[in-house]
Amino acid sequence: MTSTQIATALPRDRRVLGVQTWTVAAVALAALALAYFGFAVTSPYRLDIAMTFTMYSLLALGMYVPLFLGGNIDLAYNAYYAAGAYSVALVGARTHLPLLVAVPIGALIAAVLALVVGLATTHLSGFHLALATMLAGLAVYRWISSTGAEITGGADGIGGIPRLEVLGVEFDRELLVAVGFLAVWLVALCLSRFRRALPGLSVRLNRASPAAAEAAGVPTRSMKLMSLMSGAAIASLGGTFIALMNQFILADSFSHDIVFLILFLPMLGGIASPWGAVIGAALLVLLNEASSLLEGPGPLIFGGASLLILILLPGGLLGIAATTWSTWARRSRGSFDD
Amino acid sequence: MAIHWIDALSAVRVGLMYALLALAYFLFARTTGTINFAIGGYAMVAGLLYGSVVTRVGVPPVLALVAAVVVATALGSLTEALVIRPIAARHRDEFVVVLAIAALLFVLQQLAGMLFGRRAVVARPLTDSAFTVAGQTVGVHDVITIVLSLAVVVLVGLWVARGRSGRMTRAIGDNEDAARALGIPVQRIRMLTASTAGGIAGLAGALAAPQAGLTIQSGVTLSIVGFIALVIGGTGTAYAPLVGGIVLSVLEAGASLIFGSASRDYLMLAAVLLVFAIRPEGLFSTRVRTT
Repeated sequence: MTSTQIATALPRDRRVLGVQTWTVAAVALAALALAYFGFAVTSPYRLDIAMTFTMYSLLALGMYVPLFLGGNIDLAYNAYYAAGAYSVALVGARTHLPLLVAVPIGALIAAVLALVVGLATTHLSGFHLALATMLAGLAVYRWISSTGAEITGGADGIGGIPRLEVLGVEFDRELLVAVGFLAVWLVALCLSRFRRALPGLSVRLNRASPAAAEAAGVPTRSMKLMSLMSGAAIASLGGTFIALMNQFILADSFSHDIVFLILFLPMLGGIASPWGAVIGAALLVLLNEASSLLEGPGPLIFGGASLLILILLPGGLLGIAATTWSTWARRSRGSFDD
Repeated sequence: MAIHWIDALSAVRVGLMYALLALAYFLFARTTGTINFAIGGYAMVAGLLYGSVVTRVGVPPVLALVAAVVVATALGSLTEALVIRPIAARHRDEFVVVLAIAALLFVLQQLAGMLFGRRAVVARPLTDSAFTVAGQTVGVHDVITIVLSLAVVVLVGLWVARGRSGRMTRAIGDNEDAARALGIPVQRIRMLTASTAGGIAGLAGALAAPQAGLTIQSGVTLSIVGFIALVIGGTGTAYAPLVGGIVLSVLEAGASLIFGSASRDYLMLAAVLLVFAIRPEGLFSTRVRTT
């Protein structure tokens, strides 16, 4: 079965200005990031915001892979986030290894956790899968914050993480933010290419119609596990960057609250493209900047908007953009005909 | 360590709270086919409302309890009318409903944070009076809680088994199209069960508020324990949630006695995976749907 054949079985992608929506989004975001980063260099506060955006984007992009491409619910993302952050913290503060090795270690631990979760919940779907994976995330959080305190430092977390140094170059906060933006951009770009390549199409076909995927010879089971594992590995990078940036971590950052937030990001931006997740992350960060993170009405507005979008506009913001564009284009073409 | 009967009584009280939450899930699932994760959110809102109006405004506790149940009832029916019905009409995909309900639970949590504050709300019991049995003090509130919860479980059981509209819920759950063809008012019955479910969850939350020390984070926790109780009990009869709730509470009490209270989350995960692996339909089940 070729990719063209599979692609015909799936809904068509929307286009703006005759090109794929994702291309427009990629260019626009790259421009925005550059403009924002131009200001960011001057203020430490803006650097923190930029890094929060990076973290949310990577988590949401990670979740995008199994959930929005493959339709596999996995709500243990706080655990993968923690895997990335704690790898950096433990390698940096407790060993003399070069800090860079913490990055693959974190991704590996996250992937193995996702594999275990995926294998333990093989026969579950829908609400039951949501419950089981959420409990797995809760159990990991419990271990981090209390039972495993001897290793993880419990609620106090771990401090004193040294700066990352590669080949004599010290990664200070500015450089980390730049690398973080680059990582988000690369991951989103790769995912949107992956989405339209043969393996990505197979994952999506499995979501649209599992029976058709089986019939087409897609190895559905291993494909599901692979998507869970790669999503977890991407999400772990979010934790890696945050730990490198702040040089300390607190157990409370890894509770299930973060799972809810990142679940909504792709919905807000639009689930038809990985760029939707990045746009959602940008919106969340801007909203947080407008009202302080957990005290103001920001999260309420954010959750309410996600709910409204789910009920009324399943395409998200990218979907609205594409629809508006095609309506406008059709109308203006019509006026030429008159 | 000897297990005292007073500990057993408190396990029963907690178990009945779980049972009420599971019963709310049961009613919602019976007609809409949806596991409403926002159930714990209703209970949390009701509990915080009860606690705040009694402590901060000085409303009599009984009145506050009624108000909390009324608000939760309204939340239940609004969920059906504004979230589940419009989404189910457009998507065949269960996935979208799961996401929407997760969003709803988050919205309820943030809304409660705006209204009642983000710290734990201290709630007074319905009455402070207590009596002594065999050297142990038993609060009247606990007795009221147990009696009221049992009464609700029995009433719902009778309604579902014998009542006219109660039996209609079964018809809708079994085969919606056939129920519609028979002239059963599907939407009205759905609304009825959704609001009843909301009210029951609200009752559970408000009654548990004095002991539970609720915060806005409790919504998720309550949703989880209620769902686990439902998973353990199954959806075969209206009494299955009762058994599930009591079993879960006894397991929990036993585990914290043996392994310490930190073992709770692990126990939940283990119990759920075990039930899913061995008996995914729960302890009690009737096979009605094969799809």
